[in-house]
Amino acid sequence: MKAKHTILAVVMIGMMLSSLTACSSDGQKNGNSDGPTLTWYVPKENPTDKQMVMDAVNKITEEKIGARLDIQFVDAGAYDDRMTMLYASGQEMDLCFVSNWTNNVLTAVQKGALAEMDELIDQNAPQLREVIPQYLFDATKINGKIYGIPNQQVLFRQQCLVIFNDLAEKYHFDASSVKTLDDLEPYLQTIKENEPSLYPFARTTSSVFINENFESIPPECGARIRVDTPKGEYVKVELIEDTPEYKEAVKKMNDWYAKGYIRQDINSVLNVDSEILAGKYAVTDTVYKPGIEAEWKAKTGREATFIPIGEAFLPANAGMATMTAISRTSKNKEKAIQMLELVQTDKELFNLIAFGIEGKHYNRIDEQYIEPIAESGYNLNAAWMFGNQFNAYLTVGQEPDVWEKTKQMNDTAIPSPISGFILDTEPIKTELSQISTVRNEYASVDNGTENEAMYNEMVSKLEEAGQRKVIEEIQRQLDAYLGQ
Amino acid sequence: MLAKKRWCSNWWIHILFILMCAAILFPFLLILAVSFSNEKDVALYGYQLIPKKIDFSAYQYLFKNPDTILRAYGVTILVTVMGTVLSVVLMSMVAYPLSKRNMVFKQGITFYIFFTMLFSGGLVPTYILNTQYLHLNNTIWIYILPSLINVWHVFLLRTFFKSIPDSIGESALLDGAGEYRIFFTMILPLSKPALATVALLGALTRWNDWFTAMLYISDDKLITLQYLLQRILLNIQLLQGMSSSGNMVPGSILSMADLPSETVRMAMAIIAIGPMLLVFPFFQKYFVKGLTIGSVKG
Amino acid sequence: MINNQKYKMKTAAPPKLNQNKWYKNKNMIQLLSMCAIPLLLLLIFNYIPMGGLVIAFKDYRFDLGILGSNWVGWKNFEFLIRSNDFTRITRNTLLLNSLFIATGTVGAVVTALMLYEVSVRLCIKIYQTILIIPYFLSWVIVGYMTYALLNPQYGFINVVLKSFGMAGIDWYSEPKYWPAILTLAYLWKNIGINCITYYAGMMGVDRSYYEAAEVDGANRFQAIWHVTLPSIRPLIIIMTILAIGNIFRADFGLFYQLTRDVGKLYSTTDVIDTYIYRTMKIGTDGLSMSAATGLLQSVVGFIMIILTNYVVNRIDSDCALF
Repeated sequence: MKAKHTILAVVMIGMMLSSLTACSSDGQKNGNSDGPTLTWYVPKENPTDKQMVMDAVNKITEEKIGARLDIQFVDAGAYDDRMTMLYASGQEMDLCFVSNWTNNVLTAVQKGALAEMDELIDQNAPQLREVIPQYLFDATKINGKIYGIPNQQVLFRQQCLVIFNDLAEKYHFDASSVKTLDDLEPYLQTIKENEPSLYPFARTTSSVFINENFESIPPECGARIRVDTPKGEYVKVELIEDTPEYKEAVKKMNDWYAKGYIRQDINSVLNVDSEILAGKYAVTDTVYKPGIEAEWKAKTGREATFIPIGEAFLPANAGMATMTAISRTSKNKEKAIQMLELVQTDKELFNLIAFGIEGKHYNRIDEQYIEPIAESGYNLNAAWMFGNQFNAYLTVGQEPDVWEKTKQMNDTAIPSPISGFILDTEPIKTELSQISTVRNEYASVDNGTENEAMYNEMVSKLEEAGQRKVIEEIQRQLDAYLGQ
Repeated sequence: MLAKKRWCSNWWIHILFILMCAAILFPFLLILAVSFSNEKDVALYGYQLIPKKIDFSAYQYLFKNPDTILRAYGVTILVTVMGTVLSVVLMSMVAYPLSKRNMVFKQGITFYIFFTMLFSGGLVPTYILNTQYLHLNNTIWIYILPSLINVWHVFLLRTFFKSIPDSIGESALLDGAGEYRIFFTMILPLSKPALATVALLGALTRWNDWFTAMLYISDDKLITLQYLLQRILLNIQLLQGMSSSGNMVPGSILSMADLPSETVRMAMAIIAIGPMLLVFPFFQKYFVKGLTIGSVKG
Repeated sequence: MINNQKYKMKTAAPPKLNQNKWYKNKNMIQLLSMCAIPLLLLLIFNYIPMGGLVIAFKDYRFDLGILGSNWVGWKNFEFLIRSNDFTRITRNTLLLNSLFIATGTVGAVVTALMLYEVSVRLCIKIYQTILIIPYFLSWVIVGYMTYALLNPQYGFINVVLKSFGMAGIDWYSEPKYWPAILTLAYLWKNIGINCITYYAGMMGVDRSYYEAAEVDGANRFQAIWHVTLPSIRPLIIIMTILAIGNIFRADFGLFYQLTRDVGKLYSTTDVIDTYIYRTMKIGTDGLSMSAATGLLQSVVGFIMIILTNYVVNRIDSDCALF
């Protein structure tokens, strides 16, 4: 009997508590305007001052387009799963961040999750055509249609080495003298000998080893084309493993691994990035862009020298790296596209979303510059996720001409010879999945931790998995696309 | 006297158990030790059972901003307690009739329950049901309602109820008592061991659940401890956000190597399992008592 | 003690049950009403979503929905079965699961028997507590513990090996060790809870059987063999039947978190569930394909259980599940 009462009490308390929490979470939607509230999903941890910023945002958006905005922050790690479920459940949502690296836009379009935008743009948001260059729109098209508004930012790709200055100074190494990987070796040796608690070199997802003159055709299956193929010449699909550059790179990496420049447990390290932030490496690599010095300074608290390796080029689907799409389930597609237009054109609104409220989340230095306040409740550090980055305030440490430089590099980078090409994976689905397993299994070859025998084994396994067929199919589709 | 004789003759059993316990406890001690180590020592000497010097920086790091962790604790405890209590009551209520020899539709109901053990609709249909029709997302109920009936536990309870002699209920039946009364006043009190076992197992599953939070919860106030752990383990960046919003103090090389990452992971693991280990001895006391009530041993 | 006496008294004088129909019907209705809420919950949360299994036979599109998507027949199943990797992942799944069932059952039963021989209460309590602790941990944490032990550079085992002047082993690039590592981890985590389940079963054995055995001159091992083991036989069989039902389904957490998805270990650690997880990440048909795989696993499990249950039924119907 007594036990029964205890049970009852627990359940009652639980119900009360949960109804309380439910109330507090529902309390946000108490706007008194007639306009719709648009939801916008982005892969970012929820900032504590979100509501404060949203209120400020809504003042602008209600006045200009008569709609409110509610940005839904989803953990980056959960974003893919969450978006798949949202698409599948048909839940109403208006805008969402899509790209070719998270919440894949190709999959979403293929499975019918996103709304076509061409007409929407022309009828409701003509300004978008003016602020976004045509070539960028072209680089986002899927089957000839626009499914996302690309954010203007760094579009070209170039690899670079990152050499942390504090360590370099300590060992009197002139970081700026580095031109190639070979120049780096003596320094790595010094670190190896003198800093036992650090790793000399960390390789991230980019690969400075293969002097990036290759462009991969997604999904990653080893197919590459040479970006420096002159215009008008036959574009040949090659298998990365067949290229002399790759063999050279593996040899070099293997050498560095043997010498202890690359950590010995590299194959079981899950998250190199967080350790780079924690200052565990002396040298690493990343993707280059103007202004990267300031960004890394903010991220790691250290100064570093950035050495570009290889040519800058404009990938085939450059625009897909950061886009915002309108969901099929949106009931306010017209308002949604207007909202995007507003964010792309209204500097004040864009900066409010990107940086928060002046005095609260950042301090203004002058007309151009701001300084984010540490430990504030709205510190996204991700302007590129929301709109035209060229409209963003400069943060302290960035050069005043960083956006001009970026624009210039975008314009001068070698355009990919297969610009706009999208692979139809349907005929080679099984092979792609098998190849992916083999590639995962032999990732250690890619990491340079293996010898020649392992390399040969991988090549024959890839053969078995249908690598030839895949390369031929891609070539066939590419020939049709380029009319060659 | 008998006990003493047994103790002597069974010394090898004790040795085996002591070895087993050592093997089980060892990894705990290891991560505990690492969580109290200095990050630099870990990088230099590897994971060691006895830290070179005791260092609390990993815990200081985690508790610099304790609101998030405490809140997650609260949610987890609430969900675990509520879900377990409701679940045990409901599961016994289906297990009891099935344990009756002359129950009608017994085979049918058993099969109906058993079938769900093997077949499930999968992620998408379940998600659609929970969010579009039941609107459980972003409420505490998503943690509780869908997982109330665990088929395996129902079978455990049924087996236990079967072992209670029929005669106990029958005499009450003769006095005109209803099944509900027999169930609540006679069967349940006799079944403490089984109920405790099932409650413990259920509490455990709920305590360790992170997937539900990841999928259904977008309100940071309602996430569970395990999901927070998951987030932190995979994303030290988040931690830095929690402590100093990514703007670390630039300084000497030493201070940067001190920034805990390995040790923080282990500390976070300790924080997540700690309460369960603390609560368990109390549970265990009851658990063992319950087990021995019906026994003839000792 | 008190309850025990109660038991004995009742069993000593079993009252006759009144077979009156009215009593029976009234009680049956009560019993049925007791089941109502739990069965309703199963209907809502388990049976209704099962309708969604049709996407295994469809080319599932978000805009067309579950019902509106096009039928594609067995295509999703073909994708899995015709893959080069199917043999390997099936073999790994079946072999490792069999290994888990065999070692897990033997280990738990032996431990339970040993625990039964311990008569010092405090010791029983301590051993039980410690044995069950690992079961409390999620695989994520066990994964980190494993990593703390096996990390090639920091890992405890290699640190020890090195301190003895031996070369460390790069555990995460040697597939041959992993069946053993995974089995050990599985045992480490699960043996305690299974042991206690069996131990609880043994507690139900009537003391008089042992006295009778002693009178017959049986030694301890004979008593175990002829009295204790038969008493938990139904339990062992039911637990094994259920385990066999899941033999085609791998514990994703174990295989994913412990191996850290290191590709080099796939040859001995890649199982159906991890394979599908990866396929979902790269492909566009992930949802349909994983539904197909899940259905396949369920059907195989179902057939296995029915078969095992049938065999058990033939031998000893008391032990069967239904």
